Amino acid sequence: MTLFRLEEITKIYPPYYRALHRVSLEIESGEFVVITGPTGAGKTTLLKLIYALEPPTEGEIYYQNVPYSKLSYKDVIKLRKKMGIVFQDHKLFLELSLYENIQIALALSGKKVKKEKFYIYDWLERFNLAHKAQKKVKEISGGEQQKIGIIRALIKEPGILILDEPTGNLDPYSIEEILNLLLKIHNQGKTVILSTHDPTILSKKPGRSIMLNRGEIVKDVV
Amino acid sequence: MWFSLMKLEFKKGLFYYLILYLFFFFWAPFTLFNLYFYKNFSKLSNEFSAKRGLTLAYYPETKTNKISELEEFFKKFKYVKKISISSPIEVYRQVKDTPPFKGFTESEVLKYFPYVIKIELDLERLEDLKKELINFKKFSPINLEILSEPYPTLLGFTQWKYFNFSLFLLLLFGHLFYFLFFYFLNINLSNYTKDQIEIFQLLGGHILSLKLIRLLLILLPLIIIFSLSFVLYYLIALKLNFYFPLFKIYPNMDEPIDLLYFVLDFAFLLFLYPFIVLFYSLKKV
Repeated sequence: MTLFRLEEITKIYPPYYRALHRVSLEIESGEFVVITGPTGAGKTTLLKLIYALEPPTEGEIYYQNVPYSKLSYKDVIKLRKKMGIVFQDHKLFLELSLYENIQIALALSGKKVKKEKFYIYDWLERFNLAHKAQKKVKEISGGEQQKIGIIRALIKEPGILILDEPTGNLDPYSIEEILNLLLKIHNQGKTVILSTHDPTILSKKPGRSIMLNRGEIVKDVV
Repeated sequence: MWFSLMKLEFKKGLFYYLILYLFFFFWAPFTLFNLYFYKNFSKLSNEFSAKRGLTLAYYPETKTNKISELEEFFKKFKYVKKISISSPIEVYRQVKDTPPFKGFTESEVLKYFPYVIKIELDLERLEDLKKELINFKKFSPINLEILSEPYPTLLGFTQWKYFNFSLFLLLLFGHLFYFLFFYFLNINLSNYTKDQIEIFQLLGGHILSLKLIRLLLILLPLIIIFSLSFVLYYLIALKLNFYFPLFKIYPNMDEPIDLLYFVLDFAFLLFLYPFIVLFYSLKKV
């Protein structure tokens, strides 16, 4: 089943910067899609359009054949609840603790967990961050913030995972670990859309690979 | 989650919230007390105005009685609406049982009693009539004494024809100033917390939740601040009233209209304006 369909998408940032140009793309449910390309190729813009942070300048995006332009604000919120998003700039609440950041994401997802505290600590422990649970996010390193961003996306066990450069600040060992985790999630039937130019991930060829350059798709290999 | 979000909002916007609380503490009851000041002053002014007029005591000489001459004199002025004259005997009858006159016979005291002349007229012409009287006395010396109560000059400005309108403008300005202050403060706060508003919505949170949190952070402290501030202003007003009796600016809560002002002010400042401002603020992402 087609999950996302992008038709002739163009995105222009005022005044003249064209981030994407007539991009058409279909993403099937349960697919593992790796979007790659050089810096400024339009990877992040493409993901922002998919999670409805920005509207396209031209073209239409469909989620399960429903056009984004027809979605109300409430529908967009519902759609985002189904997604787990890892942002390139982490987008964490810097004034709150690691625990609170994850707790808010979990609460907003609507996922019911019996022992919430235990559940959150368990996830933090997997990434070796449990001992810093009560620290403020602004007090931990960039790599650790990246891990929190990933935990926040994964903890609600979403059907769709969108990850924008999730391994940018991580060491090779952590990258390997995260990739394995993503593959495990994918094997459970979840859709993973990942943007990266990390050679470790690309060399493993985890799924379909889409290469962008100057806002256009130059290669799409399954 | 709610507690964490409230903590986040308050910590991040602490500066803006404190400015709002501080401003509100001094500003909100100030406008309300202005209103009470106006109301009380108007009431006082009306009471004094009702008593205004000219009351004279005329002591007739033993040989001549010029009361009819005086009556004619007053009648020739068009602005004089009514003249009522009480003769000495009528005045005596009114006071004969009071302590200074008790025990004296009518003939003993009557010769000391005056005619009391009450003149109703347009208040603006009072001074003119007084001038005419002075002239009259120059040409026809008589024993005439003005008994009217003095009108406090402080109340004079309440007679100004734009008094009500200017007070209305002052009130309007007060509310508008508060509304605009609140509006721009909220815009600045929203810009400052833009990132967290965006993150919250990207995680699947509805903007309404953030509006509710902001409303709570505004409403709950402001209700307390309003009460504290009101008490403080009330105490100041009481003290001022002690030294300047005319300067009564506090409300009389037994009067329904004073209570209504209070309720309206409370509703506008604490509920209506914040609701309007917050409803149209906070950008959807």
